[in-house]
Amino acid sequence: MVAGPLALAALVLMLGSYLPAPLRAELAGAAVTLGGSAP
Amino acid sequence: MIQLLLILLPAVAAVLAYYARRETTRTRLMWGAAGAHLLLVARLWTTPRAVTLAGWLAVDGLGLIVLTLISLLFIVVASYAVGYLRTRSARDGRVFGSGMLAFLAAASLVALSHHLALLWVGMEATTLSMAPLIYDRHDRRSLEAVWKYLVLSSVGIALALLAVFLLATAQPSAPGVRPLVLDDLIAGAPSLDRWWLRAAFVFALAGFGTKMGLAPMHTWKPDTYGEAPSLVGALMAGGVTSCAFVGLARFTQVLTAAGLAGFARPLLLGFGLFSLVVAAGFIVGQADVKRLLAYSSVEHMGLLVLGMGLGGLGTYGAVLHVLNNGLVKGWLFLVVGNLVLAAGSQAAADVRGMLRARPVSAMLVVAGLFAVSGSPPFGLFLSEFAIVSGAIREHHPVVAGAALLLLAVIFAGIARMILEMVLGGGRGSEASRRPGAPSPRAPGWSPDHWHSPPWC
Repeated sequence: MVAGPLALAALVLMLGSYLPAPLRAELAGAAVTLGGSAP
Repeated sequence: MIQLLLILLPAVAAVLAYYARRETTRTRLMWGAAGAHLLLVARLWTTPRAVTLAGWLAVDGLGLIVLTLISLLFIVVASYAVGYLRTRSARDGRVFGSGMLAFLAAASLVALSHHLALLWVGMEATTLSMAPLIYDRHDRRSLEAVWKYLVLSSVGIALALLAVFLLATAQPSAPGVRPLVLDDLIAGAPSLDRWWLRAAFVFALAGFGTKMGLAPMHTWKPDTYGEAPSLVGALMAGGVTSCAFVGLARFTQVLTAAGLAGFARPLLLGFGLFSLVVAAGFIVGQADVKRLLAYSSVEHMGLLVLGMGLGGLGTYGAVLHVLNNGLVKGWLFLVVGNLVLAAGSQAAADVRGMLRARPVSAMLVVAGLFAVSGSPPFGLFLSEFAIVSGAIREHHPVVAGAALLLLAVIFAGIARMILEMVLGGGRGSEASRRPGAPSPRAPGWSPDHWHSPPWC
């Protein structure tokens, strides 16, 4: 009952300091298709 | 093939779970489907993109991100659900387990669908699969909540269907053009009828906005999240709303390709800011912890459409925020479920001194407070920073200022309740409990009522 929330907390913490390259690429692609831009 | 498996595997598991007589079989089915789904999603990240069913199913950036979020969220919720299902009767356990798996299949369909009518079918299926899970407690309040959810969601989904019809009307029929297939809509965007396209977007915003819980169409959220078991709240706040965002984003993609971003963006900005205002107003002084999370969800849905309406870096922030928001909502709903279980009540006045009673969950909920408020070093800081930076870069300083001010108010409102729950002394009085709710000691009161070790 705490393992699940802990795992999600670890993921959110990781996303605050490190975005894996494939994720960055997909984020940028999705943003561009919606009329936005990548940083 | 992988795309079809991602939908069919949980769908088949849902049917099997419904007919499984033993609780261990249902648990194995849930674990098996969740694990296999996550492995297949991981495989999608490494394999070249392919389309299935003549372009009706395809993988793109937004779909893959939402699919990954749903898969991660589901496996965590499935692990949490194991203890929950042990306390249910055989029939309730069957309905609950198969409902969860049906949701996984429907949400995967939404994320992968590049045919907008098929996407609508998936969205409707997520609505229906959630209904028995919300009514899990089988009492008057949960019945009221599920009816409210079904009625308002049905209105929203009907508006979304009208949007699909209008989009089909906007698309001229020509040889080789597949009706309502996203890739063909975008490729032929300049030839789409502008008037019908604008009308389709307005209906899509109202329809999918209702499913997202954007203000003022958010009224189902507080009741539903307040009455549903915490793990169902986690799936709804992290999964269903993200699926609805995908629906709205698909229409935005078509409008952007047609050169009508200037029509869509002010509408998105307006709904985004209004959602932040409504969330701030209801979070301050909120007395029920799950309702607080419901209004926090309204806030974050507002941020999503605000980012998409800003364009530029704001849109990048919005896409990243889908992922961050889904994960943090799962985290908060599950950990708040632990605290509600410990206190026997979800009224904030009754949940006190949790640092002593449930230290790990209490620390997790405090960390969650900072995460959901967009504080560093959590992922939501990056996505909210990108949205606010996008507002400044796209020459919307008033929007940036208003958003920051409202986020500060929301932080104060959430912090007040969470810190009182964790650090506050003594239990609240009987009078502070919800009217009609049985004593917290009464077995079976809480939707999260099952035996738990004291350390959690």
